[in-house]
Amino acid sequence: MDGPGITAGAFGRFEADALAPTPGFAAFRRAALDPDGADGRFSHAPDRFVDVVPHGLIEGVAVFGEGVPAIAALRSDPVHRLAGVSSVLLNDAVLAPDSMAVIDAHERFFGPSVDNLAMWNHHLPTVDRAFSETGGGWRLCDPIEDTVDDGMIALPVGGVGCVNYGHFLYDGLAAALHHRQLLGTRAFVVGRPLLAWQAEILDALGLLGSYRAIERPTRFRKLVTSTMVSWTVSYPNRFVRAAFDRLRFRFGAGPDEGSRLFIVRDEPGNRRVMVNRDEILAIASAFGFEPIRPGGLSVAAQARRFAGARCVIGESGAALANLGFCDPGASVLEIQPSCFSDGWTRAACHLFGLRWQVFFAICRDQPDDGAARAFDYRVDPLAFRAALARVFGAP
Amino acid sequence: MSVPDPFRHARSGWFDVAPRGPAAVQAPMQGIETVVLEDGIVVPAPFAVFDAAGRLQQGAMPAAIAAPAPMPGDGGVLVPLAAGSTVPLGRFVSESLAIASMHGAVDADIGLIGAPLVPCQIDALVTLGLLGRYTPIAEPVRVPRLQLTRPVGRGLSRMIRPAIEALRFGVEPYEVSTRIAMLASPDRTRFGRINQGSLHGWLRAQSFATLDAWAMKLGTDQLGLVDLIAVLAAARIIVIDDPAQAALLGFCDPGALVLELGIDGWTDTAIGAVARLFGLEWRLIAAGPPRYPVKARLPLGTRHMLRTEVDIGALDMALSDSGAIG
Repeated sequence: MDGPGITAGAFGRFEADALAPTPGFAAFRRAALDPDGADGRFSHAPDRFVDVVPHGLIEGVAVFGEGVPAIAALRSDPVHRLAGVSSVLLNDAVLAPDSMAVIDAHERFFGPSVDNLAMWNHHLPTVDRAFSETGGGWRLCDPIEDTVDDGMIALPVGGVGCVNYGHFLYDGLAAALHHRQLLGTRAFVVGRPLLAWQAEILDALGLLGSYRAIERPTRFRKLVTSTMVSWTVSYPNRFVRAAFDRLRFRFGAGPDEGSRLFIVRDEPGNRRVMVNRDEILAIASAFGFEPIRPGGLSVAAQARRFAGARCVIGESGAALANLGFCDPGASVLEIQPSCFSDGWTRAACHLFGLRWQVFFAICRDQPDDGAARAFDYRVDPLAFRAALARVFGAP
Repeated sequence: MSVPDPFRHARSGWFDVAPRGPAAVQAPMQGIETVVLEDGIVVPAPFAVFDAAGRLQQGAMPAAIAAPAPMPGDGGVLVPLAAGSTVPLGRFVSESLAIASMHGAVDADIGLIGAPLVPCQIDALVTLGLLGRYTPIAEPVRVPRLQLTRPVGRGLSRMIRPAIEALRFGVEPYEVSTRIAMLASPDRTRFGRINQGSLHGWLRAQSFATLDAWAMKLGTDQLGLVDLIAVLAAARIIVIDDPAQAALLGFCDPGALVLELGIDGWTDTAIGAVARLFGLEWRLIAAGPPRYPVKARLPLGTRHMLRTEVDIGALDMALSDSGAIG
């Protein structure tokens, strides 16, 4: 996976490619179940680049708003990266639950398990109290616990940032789900104590009964994880669909049919602030859009609301992860600040069979350089009204 | 006796199958629901399920039905599946296996029941750890408690994806050719292609390997399920004419180009729909309307009453327009 690496300090770092390839998943499974099975990797998919330029970028019907630089960025970067996916089997590896960092028996970080630290200024102690600074790097503060069950195969539920709704759904969960299904009942999903919504998701996927919460860095005799634990939300791949489809199956379709939803992102502390949201909500309301604040709903309720939606407007952010619950063919208009050009929703819509369109909003100032990268932006109401008429038509 | 209200997993409707153009090419989207039947009857082949009152709940009404035998066993909940030699692999994976895996993942006690399995169906259930839950039946049986998950309406739904993704996850792409032609063998279609030789000549010239998914053969090589998935996962351009095997396209990775050989007036939306569900690029190369040779001799037993001709020029142009895919 790409993205900046980390300064490991006392620990080294390795990538999946450093491990010996396993000839077939059956051999990978045998090695995972065999106490003497060696470390190894299995490659599920190679790196691919897929052309996902929205047709309307050329026709002028799918991209709206001011933001010329962002449109240019889309033209110059027309492809979505389907990052390669590999699983790794590690013997006597450590999982640090606060960060979900994985350290192998040779005291090396599994690179993808910490790559998402890029979103936290690459600073592990910021997100994990078990690590401290040391001479330009980090070390574990306390001794490591050994798991009490040598027979189990540990499947980390995600990576750094899995307390975030979007990261939890995208970064690693689907791989843990598939591993559990393909490796069998000796495989247990592991991670920090679950938040209520995380427990709801795992319960619906049939994984809660096999979940083992750990409070401190713990060494597992066998640990299986994947490169999906980082950057999958930025570069979604085909395997993420399984988690959403299974959740939809379990939660059901709900009572809505053909509804129009506007995902509102106005929780306190949001870093990206639409300054004229009320005005924009009023315009959307005239087109039949109903505001929804997913954060206040259970996961089941979110899934059912989006299952019934045929048209969705959303501000770029984690709540757009819910688009995965929409049925194929649903039409999406993403409001994207022009200084926050981000392609993951475009790619996710491609994978889920949704029609993606984007409205570029005007940034009033550049994001600050700190970790927060906070900024305000404004949506041109006239252009927005015209865009809704073009994309969705009358309610 | 009344049947309780079903639980609706997904609603039926329509969705577009041409993501980049105007939303004019629509395909039906199938709904999925689950209903619990007390003392229901499972007919293994042709697959059908009846409720206790003898009303058909899923499948096709058989011409005659033998008296069902009582189901031996512990009386646990069973999920009936369409399986056996009459069920194409594509349908088994996208319908039966999907249902089995989704119920099986959340309920460790649930069992599966259906016709005796063929080898590739056994492989699929083994891979997902479900074979031990499967009870093969050769004759109709009455089951104390059935959990029937059935389609509502025509078309395909997103629920075909989970089992395909799970099987695909367990396979590393194996590149025999990035170009695969997945064509129905002549004895499985009602259409006679008058330029079949020219089509195969063109396919060979364009380096397409020929896959017969019914026979599980790539060229002359016999494939197992894992081989089949690995070959499709590595393919980037697929020519296909058989909607019955459309779901197998789901093993291809996103962005792969699907060139469907359709027939004007006889097009089936399954291939385009699967392409949309799995993020594949889809092009339809439609042959002209089929001809019926009313003035020619048609010997008794002739299979191909309808004759078509693939527009190889259009196929060639669609391949040329594929650009960087490959």
